[in-house]
Amino acid sequence: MTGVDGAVVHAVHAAELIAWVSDVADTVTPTVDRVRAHDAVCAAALDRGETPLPIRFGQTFPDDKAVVSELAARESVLRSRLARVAGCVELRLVMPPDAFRVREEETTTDTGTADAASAGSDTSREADGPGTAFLKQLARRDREDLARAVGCEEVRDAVRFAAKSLIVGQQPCESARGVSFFPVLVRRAEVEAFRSAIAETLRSQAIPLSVLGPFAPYSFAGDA
Amino acid sequence: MSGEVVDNAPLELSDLINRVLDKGAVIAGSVTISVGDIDLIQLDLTVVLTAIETVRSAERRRGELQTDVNANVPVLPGD
Repeated sequence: MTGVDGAVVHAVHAAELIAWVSDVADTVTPTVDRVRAHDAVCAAALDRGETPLPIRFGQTFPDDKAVVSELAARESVLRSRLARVAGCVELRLVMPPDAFRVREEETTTDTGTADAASAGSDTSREADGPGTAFLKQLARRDREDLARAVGCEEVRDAVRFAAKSLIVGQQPCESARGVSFFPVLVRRAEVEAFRSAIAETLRSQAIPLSVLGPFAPYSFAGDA
Repeated sequence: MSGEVVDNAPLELSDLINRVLDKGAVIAGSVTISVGDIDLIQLDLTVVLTAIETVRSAERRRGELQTDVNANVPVLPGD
């Protein structure tokens, strides 16, 4: 098996833990290919049947001895995290940026600051100055962020209600790099049951939501 | 699943980046991600790079300030 930049992955044993590592240059800047390679190694570990604890991209050590030393120093913490995710996988419920679109009239009718700036002129709305336009843009962005946060939490609540008995763990909603998402931890054997349990709920929400995974439990590894 | 999403590729790529770069156990104390080359999320990269540059500028300023302060500290006998 190969990892980042095609380097061969080998196992490093420390007490009862095993780390899969590969040799890299001094610093590893993230590229799509490298991130995919890192993820592929985690996926391969997951495919072996025992849930691994994914390590965050970008950690390097001088040599294998340093890896052993770090693992030994954190063994009890790592073992308890491994126990927490044992037998489980992560599914990620992901929504695109426009999943919770704000209607245009909501962004222009009650933006107090912007309206205050344009008060006193019936035609000012059609000819906003650069300051007013900027304030309106800020107000719109705030509303979109709020709509995404509230919308994602509503979906999360609905999913929790529909599949409560199948969810081992759940993380809060997040928004990053254009998507809103929340991760759930489910037992390996119950992935399809989970998908079925939430299918009708998601259909009724009419939200373009995708269930991605299963993945190694990145979001439940402890340092998120 | 709703079944309304036709093309998941952009979503999956964003999610991959979010998952691998932002999550996972940290073994070696802390992780500094030097961002570059991921051209599909340029907006975020710009923000991140800007932030990193801001931090570095602040550190440089702090360093210069510290140098100035040290330059004004009288050297005591025996130091």
